[in-house]
Amino acid sequence: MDTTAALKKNPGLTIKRGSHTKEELEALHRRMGEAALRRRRARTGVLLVLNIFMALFILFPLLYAVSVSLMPGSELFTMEMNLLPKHPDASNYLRAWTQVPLVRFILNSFLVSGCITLGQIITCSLAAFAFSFLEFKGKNLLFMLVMATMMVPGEATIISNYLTVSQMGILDSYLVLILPSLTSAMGIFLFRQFYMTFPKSLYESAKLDGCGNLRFIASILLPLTKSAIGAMSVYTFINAWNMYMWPLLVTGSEEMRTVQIGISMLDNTDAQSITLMMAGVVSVIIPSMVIFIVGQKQLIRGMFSGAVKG
Amino acid sequence: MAEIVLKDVCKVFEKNQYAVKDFSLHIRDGEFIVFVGPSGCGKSTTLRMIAGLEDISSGELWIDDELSNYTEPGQRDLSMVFQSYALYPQMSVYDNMAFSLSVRKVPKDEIRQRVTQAAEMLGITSLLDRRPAALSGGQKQRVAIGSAIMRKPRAFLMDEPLSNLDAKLRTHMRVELAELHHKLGTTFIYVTHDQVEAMTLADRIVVMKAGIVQQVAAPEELYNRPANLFVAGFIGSPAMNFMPGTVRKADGCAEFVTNAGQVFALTNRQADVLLPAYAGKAVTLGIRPEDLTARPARPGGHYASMSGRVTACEGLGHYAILHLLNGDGEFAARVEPADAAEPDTEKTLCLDMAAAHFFDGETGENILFQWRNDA
Repeated sequence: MDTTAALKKNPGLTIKRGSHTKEELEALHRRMGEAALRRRRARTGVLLVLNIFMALFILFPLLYAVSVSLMPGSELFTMEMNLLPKHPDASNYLRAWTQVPLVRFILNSFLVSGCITLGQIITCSLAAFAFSFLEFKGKNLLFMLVMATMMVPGEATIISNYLTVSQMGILDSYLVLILPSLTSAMGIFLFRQFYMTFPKSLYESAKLDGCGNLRFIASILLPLTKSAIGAMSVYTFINAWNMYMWPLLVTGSEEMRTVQIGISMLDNTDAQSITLMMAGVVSVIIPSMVIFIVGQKQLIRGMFSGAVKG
Repeated sequence: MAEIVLKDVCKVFEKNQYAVKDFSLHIRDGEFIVFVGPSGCGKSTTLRMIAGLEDISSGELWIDDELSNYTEPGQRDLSMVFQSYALYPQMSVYDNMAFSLSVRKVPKDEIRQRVTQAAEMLGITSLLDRRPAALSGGQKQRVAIGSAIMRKPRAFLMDEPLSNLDAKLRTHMRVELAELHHKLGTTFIYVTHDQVEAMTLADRIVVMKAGIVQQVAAPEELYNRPANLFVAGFIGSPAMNFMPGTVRKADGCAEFVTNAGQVFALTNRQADVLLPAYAGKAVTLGIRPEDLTARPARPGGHYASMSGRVTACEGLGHYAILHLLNGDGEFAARVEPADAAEPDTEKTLCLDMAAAHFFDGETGENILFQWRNDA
């Protein structure tokens, strides 16, 4: 009897060992394998479609911004629903790049974010090293204090910070943009969690080898915590790139503006052009997206390595 | 090459919680010392205090007649092998071994020469370019030992170095360690919870319990003359059998009566010590399984008979372990394979009274042999 046909007719049929010939079983295997493959493909297909739909849904505002930035102004202000530009051109981009010194803003932002990232990695890794490897009185209390600063919203300190830096006479400079962000409780916490999983015997072994703390950090700890550093860099860089309130408050001249402030210069009462603004916005999010895409693996690995082992 | 002296060393973690208490020991130059004890007995803590990884709460640590309590770990010139090997994962085997020398700014040529030499000695020359992740447990262990011997330190400290290896490899590495000690002639301080490692490797063993030294002695002495109940029960496998009871005078001789009423006549030497001081007091008799045999091992020896119901019999080829039960509880005997018995049968054994140990029922001290820490 054809086993496959019987099986199709009666799915509950059990196939007993020894009651079928070798050929029958082989044919059965093939049929069942094909069916399983078909099912698997169908499942993947459905998931793929669902994912694409969700991605489009989530990305819609962004994609629409790109689309608007490519439209001539006349196309946007109509009663029709123009999701895609009918006559796409790059004139908005050209205007955005010439009307305000966008390149300067981007360079400023790069400089400021880069310095902040570098500074935070140095200060946070050193602080986290102390909190996880060194023994000293009041260590836990100090760590709790550091953590407590995470609960103070930035807006609460912004005025006093402003008064401090203005007294120091460093308003409207790169220094004032960088200095207050050179360390962060979040970064210390992230590094500390990472260092806690670091085998202590490596530190002890290095100590017995006569290796000092700084040398241990430089030649053993940092090379082994690259993923934490990667995560930290991406996170800090994007945060610094997106800073708005502080640069707005402490910079006045055009030379010191960062992109997030500079972009709003495209918007003025005389010439309100949404398409122009969108072109500017799209131009400035590109660098931070590139950073994220390059670093996302590191970011995710680093963010979760402390929490979940393996 | 170092002589290490510990004098009344204590480690207090919290108020009056002693991890190690009054640890005194004189480690001679080139000696192989093993700290052994159950987990949490303070053996690792003591080792870490010698290494400088833990502060010494009180007491003195002398390394080569130099007070070293406050010397930085890197300055003590000791090297340590950890249970987890502690190899730097991002460095090759060569760099791992060279690390301690490069920290000390030893010239490159000399480092190369010494690494090559150590690698040859340990048979890891072919592994020098690999990363630790690509090594097996035994190879990692060898590299860890290699990194330790590179520096030609004054002493080696080893914290359960073989615990992560499988049984066969462990036996093999044990022999290699013994050879290494013989070749280098350096002082070794070795921590383990495995009594076989302790017995086979050590020149002298330090048995610890709850932070206190129980006995320091050569392996054989430790086995034959345990200072107290704990040492007697800890060293030896299967463990020594214990029977609580009392000593009493009988017509013309002295005898030991167990709580369940078994009677064993004492030898004259035992009677001389036990009768005057311990008549009527609680005493525990200890007898090793190999001193409980199916028939007298020595003709004319002083034997007592002891019987029980067999609960299990473990044949091990060249001998068998009988587990028995009687009114005084469970006990084990080591017999010839021919004398093995089926479970649930009665078996009468010969107890070699001359080999019996007697312990004070209250303090647990060995009555016939008093041990004193001379360090």
